[in-house]
Amino acid sequence: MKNRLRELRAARDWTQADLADRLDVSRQTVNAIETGRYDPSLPLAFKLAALFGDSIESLFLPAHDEAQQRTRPSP
Amino acid sequence: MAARGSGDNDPDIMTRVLYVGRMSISQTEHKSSSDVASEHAAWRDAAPAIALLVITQGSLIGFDPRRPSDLAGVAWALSPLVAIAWLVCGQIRALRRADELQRLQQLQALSIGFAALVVLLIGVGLLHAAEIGDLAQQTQVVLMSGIFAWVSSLAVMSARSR
Repeated sequence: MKNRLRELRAARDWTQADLADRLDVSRQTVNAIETGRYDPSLPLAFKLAALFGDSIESLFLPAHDEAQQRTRPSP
Repeated sequence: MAARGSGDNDPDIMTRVLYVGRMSISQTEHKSSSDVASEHAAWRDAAPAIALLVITQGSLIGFDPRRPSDLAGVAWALSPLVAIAWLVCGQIRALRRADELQRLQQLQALSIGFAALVVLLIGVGLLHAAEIGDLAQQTQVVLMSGIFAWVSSLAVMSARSR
């Protein structure tokens, strides 16, 4: 699953440690989520969405959506 | 012909490189406050238990297993168990403190360590049934191997997400 965390974090000029502090998790967890190696639990996803003021579905992109977007012809 | 957009003097690229460099340095050097708190708590839990384990193990050096097993002798022989129980309690507290990814990694590493322990124990049981080797020494090797499998798998999983 892809996500926009790195982009949103960079826009706020936060380090991974800053974001980890705000979420009350380890920096390692933030890094694993950003790089797509770990999918967060629903409570953590809600926390992320609330922190960035966005919806969960706009933060996280399911794998099949990625595939559909790749195959969809551009207008 | 200079490639477009790849020049060394492009201020946008330089700014981006410096920004990414600064971000990556600060990300590897800085720890979140929960990282620091959990590290401190882990040391607070482990340091006295390790010290106690060293003391109790050291006191067993003069222990003679042939002497009559009175209550004091049994208590002396089992004294390292106090430190080990302390370490186990510390591990449980660390699991409770850990966030969701760390907890998952800890539990996966513990299951790998436990699987290694079971396989090796079956091996030792078979060797004991065939009257090969010394059971006490083999048990120590099994215990150390199980702990090694746990710690090394945790280190690998942890390094992957750093």
